[in-house]
Amino acid sequence: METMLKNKKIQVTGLSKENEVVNITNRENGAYPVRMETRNLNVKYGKVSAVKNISLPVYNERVTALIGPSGCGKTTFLRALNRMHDLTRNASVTGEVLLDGNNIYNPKVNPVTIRRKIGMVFQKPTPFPTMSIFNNVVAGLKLVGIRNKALLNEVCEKALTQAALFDEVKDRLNSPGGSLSGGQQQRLSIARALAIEPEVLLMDEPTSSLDPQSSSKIEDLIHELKKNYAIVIVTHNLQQAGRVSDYTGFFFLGELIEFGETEKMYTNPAHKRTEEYLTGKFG
Amino acid sequence: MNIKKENAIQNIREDVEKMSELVLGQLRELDNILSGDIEISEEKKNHFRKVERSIDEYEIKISNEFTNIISLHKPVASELRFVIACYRLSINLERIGDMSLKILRILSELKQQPNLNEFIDVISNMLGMTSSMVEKSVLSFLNNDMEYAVWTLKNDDVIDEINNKMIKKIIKKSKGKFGDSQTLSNFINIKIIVSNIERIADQATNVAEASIYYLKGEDVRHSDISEIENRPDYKSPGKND
Repeated sequence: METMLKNKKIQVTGLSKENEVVNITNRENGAYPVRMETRNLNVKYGKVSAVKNISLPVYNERVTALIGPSGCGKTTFLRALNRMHDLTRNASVTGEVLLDGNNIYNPKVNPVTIRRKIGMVFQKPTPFPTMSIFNNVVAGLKLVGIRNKALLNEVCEKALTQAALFDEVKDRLNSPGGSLSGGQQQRLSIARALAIEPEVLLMDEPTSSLDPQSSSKIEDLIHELKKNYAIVIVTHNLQQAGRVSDYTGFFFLGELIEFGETEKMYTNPAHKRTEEYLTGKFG
Repeated sequence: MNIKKENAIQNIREDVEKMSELVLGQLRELDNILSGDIEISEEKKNHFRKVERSIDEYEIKISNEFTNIISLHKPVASELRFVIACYRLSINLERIGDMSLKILRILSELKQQPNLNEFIDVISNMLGMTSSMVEKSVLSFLNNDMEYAVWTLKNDDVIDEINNKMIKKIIKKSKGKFGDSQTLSNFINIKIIVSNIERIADQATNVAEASIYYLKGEDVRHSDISEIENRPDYKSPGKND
């Protein structure tokens, strides 16, 4: 017996006269594989520890939100996931960050290759303002020497479609990226991140500079994108974290205080500090 | 801390407290009636109806407050569980109010007969125990007291047992009385009163379950009480650090 309720598949099984056991489930079954994982990750700026000994899984086809008060280390942690601290003076990273089981901090690994596999979307939209929309999207591909026009066209359309922007800009792909609205620019940045076909998408407060309508579009987009990617999002907006994520990690003073299913954390957090932060008692 | 949210949560809490006081007052009133002369004056009936209307108004008020808190303040964690529990309590308390009024109405239809006294004594005891269940379930919620919640859940079985015994007794005593319409009518009314008291105990159980949901974040509806009461963390309130 099967029925649909608000787009969720409800399965009713085991109905019989002798044994009237009804098993109703509206949860998606099955565990998701770990795409990325940190093990005892530490990040220091000089002598100051910003991230302390964090071990955290990132599941494929799921959204993981990182929350916590300002300065708790969540953005530092996020940037460590695609070796962005390589470019930061005084920053040192210890521990492991595994992508499909391989440590991305292995000296033999090229950081540029890693950043192709792990895309990043920043707090403020980062289009090249004078570059055309088309060139903004394929900039990453051109950077690695891809010049095939047909391939670039195909990738551009696909990435813009995935970023839910194609219909809005398909007639003006040669217009400068800076001519788009803030929300469109952020989706353009997401399209650029998707064009290089990453495996993991990192988002650092991707809607903090957007109006509610644009934010809502980005949230819908995240919901669509998670079907193909593992997504990690840093957000200050607790409601947004609740809406978009499947798992949440609560950071405080550089430590991971609690990690688990968002639903559980938002209704019954295990730790007092998480409870206090979520209910606005500090932070 | 968001002051508007804190005030809204404080307001819904105070309304649940006031609604509980009215409901407990009705139960006390019934207890007084059963302990004394079961004659009920019109004035008393009118007062009872008036209080019942206030209980209904609190149900609507709490429902509105609940909707506003959810839509405007988006509570999470213990605050979310608290307002959900408030909403559940208001529904259960309103039903207790309805059933109390029904019991009063039936009591007023009972005609004094010698064979009624033995039933009235048991009903009085049953109501006293049920009132305690309502009181302790509400207190468990308002004072974060797990022991009171578990106590209430355990006592529901006792009330069920008394109810079953009473029904058997009524059936036994009514044998051969079918020609006596007044006696039969009294027995039927006693059966209705006993059933309503049993349902009030069920509502108290619901309140206790809502309280546990708030305190522990666990839905214990349809769970085995013997399993619940043996858990060490259910002996007293508290949250893991």
